[in-house]
Formats: sequence, C-alpha cells, structure tokens
Amino acid sequence: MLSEAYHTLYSIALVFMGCLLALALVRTIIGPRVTDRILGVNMLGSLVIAMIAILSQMLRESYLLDVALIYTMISFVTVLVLSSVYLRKRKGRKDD
Amino acid sequence: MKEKFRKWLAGETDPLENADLAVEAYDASREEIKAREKRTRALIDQSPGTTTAVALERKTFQIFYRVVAVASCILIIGVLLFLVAHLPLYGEENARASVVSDRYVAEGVEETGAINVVAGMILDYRAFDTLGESHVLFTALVVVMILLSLDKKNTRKGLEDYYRISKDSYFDTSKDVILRGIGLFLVPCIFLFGFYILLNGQNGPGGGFSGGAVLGAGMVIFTAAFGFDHVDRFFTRKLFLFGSVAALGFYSFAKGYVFFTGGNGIENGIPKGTPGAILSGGLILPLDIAVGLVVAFTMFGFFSLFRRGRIGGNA
Amino acid sequence: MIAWIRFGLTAVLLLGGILAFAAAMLGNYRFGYVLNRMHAAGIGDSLGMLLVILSLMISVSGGMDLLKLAALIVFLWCTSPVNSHFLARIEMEGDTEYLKHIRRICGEKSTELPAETKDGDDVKKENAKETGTGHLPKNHSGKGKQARKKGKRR
Repeated sequence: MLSEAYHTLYSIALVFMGCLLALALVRTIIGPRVTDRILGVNMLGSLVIAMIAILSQMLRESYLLDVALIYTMISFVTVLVLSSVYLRKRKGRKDD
Repeated sequence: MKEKFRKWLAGETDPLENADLAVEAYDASREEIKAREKRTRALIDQSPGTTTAVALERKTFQIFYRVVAVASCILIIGVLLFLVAHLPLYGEENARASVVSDRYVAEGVEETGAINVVAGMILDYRAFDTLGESHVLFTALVVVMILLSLDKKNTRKGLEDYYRISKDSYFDTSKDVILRGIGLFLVPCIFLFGFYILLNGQNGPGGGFSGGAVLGAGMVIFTAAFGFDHVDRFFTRKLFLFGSVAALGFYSFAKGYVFFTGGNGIENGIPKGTPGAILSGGLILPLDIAVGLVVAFTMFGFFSLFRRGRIGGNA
Repeated sequence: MIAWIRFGLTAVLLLGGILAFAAAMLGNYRFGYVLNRMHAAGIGDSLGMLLVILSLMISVSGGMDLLKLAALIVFLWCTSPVNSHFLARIEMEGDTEYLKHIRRICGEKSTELPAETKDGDDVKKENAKETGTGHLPKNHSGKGKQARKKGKRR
C-alpha cells in the first residue's frame, strides 16, 4: 500500500516535469536572443537533474545520483564555454 | 500569436533574425585577404605554360576523386546493410550468440572477480576491443593536432595579426573574480569525484571511460577558472604525449601477457581478490586507470587545440 | 504510522517543489527581456531544487544516499549563481544596445536621471545633456549617443 502510494506520487511528479521540459524546449527555440537560448538549456539541465533524483528514489538505484552530479557539472561547463565564445570585448574597454 | 504560428508554418519567418551577434572588424580584413589570394592565384593560372597541364590534371583528379568517393560509400553501405540483415529480430528468444552471453552472465563474477559484469566483459573477456577503442581516441587526437595546430607556417605574417587572433577571438574567463573563487572550492571536488568513478569500475557503474570524461571536464573547468598560464606549468606537451603513449603501451603489454598465458593454457598469476573490494578483479583496475588517463588527456587536448591551436608549451 | 507521516511530508514537499518549477517556467514566458527571465529561472534552480531534494532526503533509506543528495544540492547551489553571472555578463558586455531593450520593456522614462539633484546641479545637468544617461556606464559607439539623445529628457 505504501510503496504503491510512493510510486503514484513519483509518477505524477515525473509526468508534470516532463511537460515543463517541453515548455522549456519551446522557449529555447523561440527566444530571440542568444542569451535566451543558453538560459533555456540551463533550465532544461536543472529540470533533468531533479527528474533523475526522483527516478533514483523510484527505482531504488543509488548510482543514478552519481549521474545527477555529473550532469550538474556538465551544465556548468556548457555555460562557461558558451559564454567565453559569445562574449566579445568592446573596443577601448579594459578588463576588470 | 496566430499570425506568428501561421507564418512559422508557412516558412516565412527566420527564427534567427533577431539573434544579435556583432561582427568584428577583423572578419572584414580576412575577406580582403581572401580576395587578394584569389587574385594572385588567378594571375598565376593565366600565365602560359601552366594553363593546359594544370587544368587537365585538376579535371582528371576531380573526376577520379568523385567516382572513387561514390563507389566506396556504396560499398561500405552495402556491407553494413548485408550484416544488419543477418542480425536476429528484436526480442527473439533463441538469439544467435546466446551461448557466449550465457557463459558471461553465469560465470562472470567468479572468473573475472568483478561484480560489474559489464566492466568484466569489456576489460577482461573482450579487452582487445577496448584496446582498439583507446587507440581510436588517440588517433583522433593526433589527427586533430595535425589539422588545427597553429605554427609559423599557417599564421598570417605580422605579429599583431597573430596576437589579435589568439587573444581576441575568445573571451578570457579567467579574469573573473567570482569564477576564480568558486573554482578554488569546486575543482578539487570534481577531481575527487572523477577518481572515485575511475576506481570503482569493477564494483558499480563507472570505469575508465566515464571517469576519464569527468577528469577531462574538471581540467576544462580548471583552465576556465585560472587561465592557461597556470595549466601550462604542469600540462606540457611532453607530459601529454608520453602519458598517452605510456598508458596505451601498458595496456597492450598487460593484455598481451594475459592473452599469451590464456592462449597456451597457462595460469596467469594475477590475483583476483574478493569481489566488492577496491583491489579486486585482477587486471581490471590498472587497465581502467590507463583508459581513464587516455580519455582525460584526449578531452583536454581537444579543448586546448580548438581554443588556441596548441597543447601546452610556448608559442 | 511513522511511515505514513513520512509519506505525507514527502508528498507536501515534492508538490511544493513542482509548484516552484512551474512558477519558474511561467515567469520564463511572461517576462519580456532575458535578464528578467533569469530572475525567474533562478527560482527554479534554488527553491525548486531545495524542496525536491529535501522531500527525497526524508524518504531515503541508507546513509550513502543521504550524503549524495546533500552533495548534489551543495554542488548545484555553488554553480548556479556563476551561471547567472556569466549570462548577465553576456548581456551587458557583449551587446552595446542594451538600453534599447530596457526602454522597450520598461518604458521610455525608466532610464532618466532622478528629478532632484543637490550640490553640483549645473555640472550634473551639463553631463546629462551631453552624454545622455549620466548614471549608466558610458558607451563608446557614436551611434548610441545619437539614439540616446532622442529620448525624452527632463
């Protein structure tokens, strides 16, 4: 009885977050500026991390939390490298 | 909103039309230089004596190249399709290779000493394939080095041009105070996590490839936070090349020894340990470390080559 | 009985976390400029993740999972502000026409000087007439100055 209740709860949560994933993807496609798209990819990453954590509890496998940690790091590296490509120095301006 | 959707459906809008990316001035001068090169090449082509021979050679080479390219593509696709047609159907019960896989699953833990049967398979039963994969990574890195290295032969003349390309194409994230402060705390944690994944290949999911990828990403974060000057002190070109060659050589010799003894029916004297401990699984742990090293060096090598055209060292 | 209390707490916190993520997505769609959307996305990263991970920590069985979840939330909270920082830097430093976007979203008068200026009245008014918005950083492109001079000035 209790495990069924947990299973239902986690399933509802995962389905809802799946819909949020689709919405974030639409925002990434529409967003008129470059920064909009990087922000959309970051939000996608955060949603996926939450979903993996919930899945690890649902399936009782503890190694999925390692995967969530790695994905956090990957989204961090994504924003770092993309920002270093899209930041251009303005003329005549010194760095801090 | 409906108007926008109708326009998108009909293909009239350009989704990237408001993407503001400023075009720098050096792009214009690069076009000027291309135009100049084109003009000089046209002048050379028009001079007498070179026209007919060169043109004929170019044409035959083009025709030959296109014919061979199409033929080899058709050949490779044909072979692959022929192989795929002979695979068993999806979900079939009496699959072809069940004899071998049953043996792996049933006696994998005893024979290899690793709880993670997948790691036991790719690093003990089928270690030859993993050797090939590591060599593929190394070859890819060497090819990228050949194509992307910036040295005196393929940079424009004049020091200010080279300086401008290498310093202004990418923003230097290492001058950011926030990133430096966070990097001090995060980078050791990431390396520790990478080693944890690397060393636990035989007990749970992980192993050489994923651990090496995490280590490589940790190196990328370290470079972004502290700059290339810090990294150049310890990650020189010699260390990179010798490390990769040593790891691959160790892998080849260790696995060669096991093949030799196994093929001749001799017992190889490598202890298997208790399954579940770190020092278990015979040779799986050292081979994991070798593969992880190669993968980490490859990942950081790609990043460094695409960023500045060289791996370590000075200009 | 205690198991049911645990389940109730888990359910409440998890639904709260999902609501926080939904609020973040709603903010992503309603705001007009990317820097405003970043505020909304920050809610998802910090409050949403905290509630979800707390709810999972309550229902976990085993000490290793608890520590891994704690490490996950610490790592995420350390890296999420740096992401926002770099996104803001892309906007403010890479684009020399950000004033145009701010005026489009927040109205024409939002980039004016405050009405009252105490000592140094004349100097500030002169600066305002010359360069436009005196309290925002200077722009080096000449076209920007012309565009800014056209805005309403008091």
